[in-house]
Amino acid sequence: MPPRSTASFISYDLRPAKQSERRILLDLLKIAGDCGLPITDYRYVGMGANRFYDFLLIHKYLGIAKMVSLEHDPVMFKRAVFNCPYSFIDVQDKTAADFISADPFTVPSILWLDYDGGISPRIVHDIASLSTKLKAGDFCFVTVFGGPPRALDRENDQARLAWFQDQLGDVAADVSLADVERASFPDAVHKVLIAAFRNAFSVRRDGQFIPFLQVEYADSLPMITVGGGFLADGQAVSFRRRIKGALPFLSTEDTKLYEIRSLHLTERERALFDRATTRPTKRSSERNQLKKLGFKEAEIAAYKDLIRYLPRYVETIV
Amino acid sequence: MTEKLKADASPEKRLFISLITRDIPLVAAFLDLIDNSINAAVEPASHRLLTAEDYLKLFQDEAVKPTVDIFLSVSPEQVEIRDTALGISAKTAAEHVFKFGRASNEAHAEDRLSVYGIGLKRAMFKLGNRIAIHSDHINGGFDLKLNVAEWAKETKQPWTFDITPCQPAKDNATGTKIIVKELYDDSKRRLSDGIFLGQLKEAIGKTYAFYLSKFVNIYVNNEKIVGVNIEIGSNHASDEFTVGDVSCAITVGIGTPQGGSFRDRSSGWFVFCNGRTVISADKSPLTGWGGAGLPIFQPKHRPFLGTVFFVSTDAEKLPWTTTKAGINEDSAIWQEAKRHMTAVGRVVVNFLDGRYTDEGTEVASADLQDAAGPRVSVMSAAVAQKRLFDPPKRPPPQNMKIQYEVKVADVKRIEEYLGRPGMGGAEVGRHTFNYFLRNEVGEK
Repeated sequence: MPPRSTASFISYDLRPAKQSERRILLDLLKIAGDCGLPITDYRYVGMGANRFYDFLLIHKYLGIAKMVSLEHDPVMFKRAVFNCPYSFIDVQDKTAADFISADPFTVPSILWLDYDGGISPRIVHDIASLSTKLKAGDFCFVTVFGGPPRALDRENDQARLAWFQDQLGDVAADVSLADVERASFPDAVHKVLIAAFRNAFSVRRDGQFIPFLQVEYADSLPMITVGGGFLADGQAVSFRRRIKGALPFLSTEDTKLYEIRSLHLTERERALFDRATTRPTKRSSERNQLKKLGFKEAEIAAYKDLIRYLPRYVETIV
Repeated sequence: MTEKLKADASPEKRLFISLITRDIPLVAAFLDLIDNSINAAVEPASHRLLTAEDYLKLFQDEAVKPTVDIFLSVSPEQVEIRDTALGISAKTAAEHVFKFGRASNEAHAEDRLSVYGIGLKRAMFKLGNRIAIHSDHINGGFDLKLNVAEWAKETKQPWTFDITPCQPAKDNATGTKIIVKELYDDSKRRLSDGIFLGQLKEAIGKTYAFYLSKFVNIYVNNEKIVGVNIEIGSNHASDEFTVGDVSCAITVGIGTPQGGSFRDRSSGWFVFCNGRTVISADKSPLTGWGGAGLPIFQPKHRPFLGTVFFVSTDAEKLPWTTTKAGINEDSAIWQEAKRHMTAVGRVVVNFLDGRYTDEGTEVASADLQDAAGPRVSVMSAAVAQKRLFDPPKRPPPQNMKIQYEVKVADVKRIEEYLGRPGMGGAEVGRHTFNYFLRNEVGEK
């Protein structure tokens, strides 16, 4: 039986870190456009659930009008069809694995496989299958729960490591006992996803997979996203250069996980952060004021990274 | 008189390089490089490693700590291995180190992991085109810079590498550094395939568990590698024999569960030559499974753990292949070992087979650990007194099944008589049995 969709029991209305992640992804795809890729003509394949937030953003900001939403949960499928915001979104009652195996990938594609559960062999297999389908210039992102899968929740560290090694094989060969402790579990998931992408695309000679999005965030539960572009060598050089300029906190060379911090700020605090982090120097009255309010240097640095991506929520009465 | 001509039978370098590098996996090539460093690290203590007992004594000697560091730095651009062992003198480099294979009269009694005189060259040739070696030795080390493609084009005989002698090392700052650049395409792809580094670290931890605890610290991209020590239940069987210069100790028992279960990767046969793991968790005909001796390995055999520990001061007599990642199946010592392995292993296999009968599993998983006894290291087990596995006595069965054939119509009649249509044959049987027991035999 397929796992139950989280959309049936989690409210996605207010997830600031997730929204920041979506906006970062949009920026990355805009950079792809700046590098000469015809992003508007791309197809977006996602898992829109019943809110379709990523679909709305991608259509509005990138102009993409070919979209597929995958929904394997039979109950949620009906609701997804009902809530589908645009007629050009093709909601398909399929798992990612079924879609990847059936689709010819003749259209340049951006895939965001936003899985409901934790890391599993199924996800590693999906990445491996994708590597045989994606063309140079395609993009793929995978999001998974960063904590232990349900089966491992009550197990000790030794049993968790054994599960990684037995279930995930070589892509988990670099996972250590320290990685599978509860506090560092996202690191284990990150290592597996990076290894899965690298290994899957290592045999391709027509390009290289650059995992330029490696982030973790936690609106409620820890989540990990790893993904990037399968790019021809020339594209890769220019892409890396532009990302370094526009999103310097993301790593295009190393395997480094960036934490999208959840900053819970009032409007007045936010205005102060805006001014403090856009000053050319570190010494400013705004920064001093933030410190007096108890904010740490790491929070100011995080705000500086994410200033363009943090959402603002307001309540409206309708 | 017929004139005799000399037919050219000289080797082509290009073919030679291809032959020696083709059959070695990249991980094994790295292990070859590490073997050289460990061999150098062990050299000063080689007189303490003559027999299997010596290995155990050293393993158990808490005063012995690693004295040599080996640093591996691996990237798709270059590979570097650096050690702080005694280094290689210019004389040794000129006369021995770069010779392909050992001369018949060339013996190094202190060698434990250096066997055929091919590993270092093969590993370097496998990786890339530009090789640089620098070694510091108290009697003067050497420098070597080699462009393999250029060298392969030269046809002069005999084959040589140009080396430059260096000044004697000062303040005991000895050691050897090898850098390989211009990596070949296959190596580059493998090194960046996302899983290679993990496989390499795992292989180092498994292969050198003994040496990691006593002789060397190994770091891969600055991460210290921890040896994977195997433990076995103290209720185990063991056997030993010696053929010529080679001694062999065999131990078979029940392994230790990890995370609550016996794992595939920790079961089967493990074979060690001079303390180095050669094969791990083997369940193939190579070690007797599915052959004449032992049954085909099945999941019920996962608690099985067998170790074979070969020791010799003449490493060439050990039954390992030139890559040290496999066994030379035809070697007489291996054939002899296999017979002993089968004989000792059968007792444990029979016990594990006996856990499953028509009545179901008779020994629960937790009871297996009781049967195994307290854990001991396989090293201790390998050199302990010869002993037998003592399978736990099974209590006599408390229940049994009764099966017999009757007419369906008669069963229906009983069902109707009891007023319970559809109660089925098993229930009818139980009812009639209980009726007879109560009314004819009488309750206890």
